[in-house]
Amino acid sequence: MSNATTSQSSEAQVATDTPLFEIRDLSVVFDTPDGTVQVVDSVDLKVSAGRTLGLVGESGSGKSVTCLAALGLLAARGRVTSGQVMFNGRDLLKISEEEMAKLRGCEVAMVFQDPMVSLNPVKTIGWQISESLCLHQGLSQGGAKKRAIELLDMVGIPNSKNRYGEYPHQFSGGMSQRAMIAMAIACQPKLLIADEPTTALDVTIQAQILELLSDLKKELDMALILITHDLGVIAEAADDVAVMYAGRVVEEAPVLELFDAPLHQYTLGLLSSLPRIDRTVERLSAIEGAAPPPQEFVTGCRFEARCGHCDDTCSGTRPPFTKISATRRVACMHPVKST
Amino acid sequence: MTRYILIKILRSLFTLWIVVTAVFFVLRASGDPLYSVFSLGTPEATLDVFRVKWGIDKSMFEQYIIYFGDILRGDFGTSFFDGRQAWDIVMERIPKTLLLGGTTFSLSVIIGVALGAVAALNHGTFWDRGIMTASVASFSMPSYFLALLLILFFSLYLRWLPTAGASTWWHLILPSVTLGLTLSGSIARFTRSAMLEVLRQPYMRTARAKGAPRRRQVIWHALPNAAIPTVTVIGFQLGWLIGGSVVIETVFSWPGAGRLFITAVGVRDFAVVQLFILMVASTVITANLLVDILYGYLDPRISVTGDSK
Repeated sequence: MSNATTSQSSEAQVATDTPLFEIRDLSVVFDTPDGTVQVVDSVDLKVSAGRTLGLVGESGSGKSVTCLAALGLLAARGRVTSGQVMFNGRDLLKISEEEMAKLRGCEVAMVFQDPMVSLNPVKTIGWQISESLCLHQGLSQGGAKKRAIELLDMVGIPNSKNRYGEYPHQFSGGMSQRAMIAMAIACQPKLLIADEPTTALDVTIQAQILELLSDLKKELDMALILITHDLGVIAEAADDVAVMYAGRVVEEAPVLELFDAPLHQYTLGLLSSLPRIDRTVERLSAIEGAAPPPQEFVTGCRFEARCGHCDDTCSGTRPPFTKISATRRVACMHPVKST
Repeated sequence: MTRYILIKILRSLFTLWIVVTAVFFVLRASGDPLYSVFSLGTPEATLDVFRVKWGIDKSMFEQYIIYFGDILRGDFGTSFFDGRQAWDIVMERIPKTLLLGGTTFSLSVIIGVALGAVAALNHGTFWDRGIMTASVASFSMPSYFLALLLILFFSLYLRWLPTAGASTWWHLILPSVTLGLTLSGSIARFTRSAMLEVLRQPYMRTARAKGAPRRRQVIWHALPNAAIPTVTVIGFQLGWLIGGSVVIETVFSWPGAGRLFITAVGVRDFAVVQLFILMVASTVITANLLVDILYGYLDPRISVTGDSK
């Protein structure tokens, strides 16, 4: 992974090597009492070691489901119908559940949205962190405890020796999320997927957690996928961005290019709805309407109903991706003209 | 902790007092023991002798005061019929009742929890439906009816098992299976719903994301959480078990305290009935107290010590 630690300076990042983690043409359906609905539609994503991919979209756009499906963590009603998930040259969708279990928590780890309910309430924090160490690294109880305390220190939990034996309900939200992160990085994974890691937290804590994730990413040379609906988080922490809408990726770009010159009408809408510190406005602009639920997904452009630039070409067929540069593509019939 | 337990004990004593009082008056309102012993033509003079002897010549209130004082001194009275201490009569039956109840209870808990967990883990499959159908059937069926079915099949048709008595281990099988089927059916249902609830919690996904194998997820992550509501329910089932064993002991002529109780109620043997009910109430109250204490160990969020964090 030659482009490992040169983050942030995103312009000339041409990913010539194979990415560490690549999702190709992934589709996921849910079985509901009213039939199957497709929630993820031919999604392609990739991320290299040492990079952060921000996956942004409204709730229900399929970003979490995409990642859960890639790691085989879908709930029973979800099914992958097509695609490949390449990790280190292996297709994760083809390997057995046993092999997948060996990989999860070891080489690929995940941090979830709500730390308070994602930790087991009847087990101590220390026990939960030590568990992955014992499972994947074969550490003894004593060894795992020592390492778990180091990990608690590493994620900035003060008084780690005492807190090792405490239960999740004795932890604040921010501290719980730090503990979740400690658990995820316990075995020094190559890929960390953080699913809305800051959504349930106070704003001040959010920044700390994002900083912690960035630091750890550098320290451990991980690839990081950051799922969020918050463009502020993206601006702060991502190197590359993929924008998802209604089960599809609609635009991909390095973070600065995306904020400078969004190409998809939806991305533009999202960015215009952000409050700006350098401008005074009466009202923040919002995108009219709401994202369609999966039952109402159409074949053509799914943003058409809320878009001011659509015409006949938008409906009927799925807008193809236009490659703008090696790191940039957009799926829009009428991309935003740069000014 | 001590303060918490002290309050619990005081409350339990109050409950016991209500039980004792209610039983005392209801029993006396239900009929005169003299008429269950003597035939109608017996001269009043003879009856009066027995009234004095049994202490039922005084007013109800006086009797209550005397009875209550006796209990506090540990004297539970004498049986009207064979003149022995009620305590001795009940206690000689207790070991057999404990044997039946203990066997039934432990088997039911093990089988019920296992089946409930299996059903939850295979939610919506053939196994789930099979186990649930069986458990609904087992606890909807009156136990005396189930007893008869089992007797017909295993004793009369197959001639494998004895129908009455308690002389060998073989005699234990039918009564404990009858009683246990019903109990494990309801425990299985409670365990299943508790497990289903736990299995959809986000922390189960965390366990999977951590790479814990399936077996480990179930035993170390799901069961300890599902145990919390299940233990409460199992605690309540103990009262039911005692009630059920009274019936079953009668059906299978099991020489336990339950059968003694049925006989004693029939002839209005006040002292024996009163002591038996007092013991049942104490058992149930103690079980609930134990469940409360156990709770504190199962669920770290609940602090029985009262000094909340």
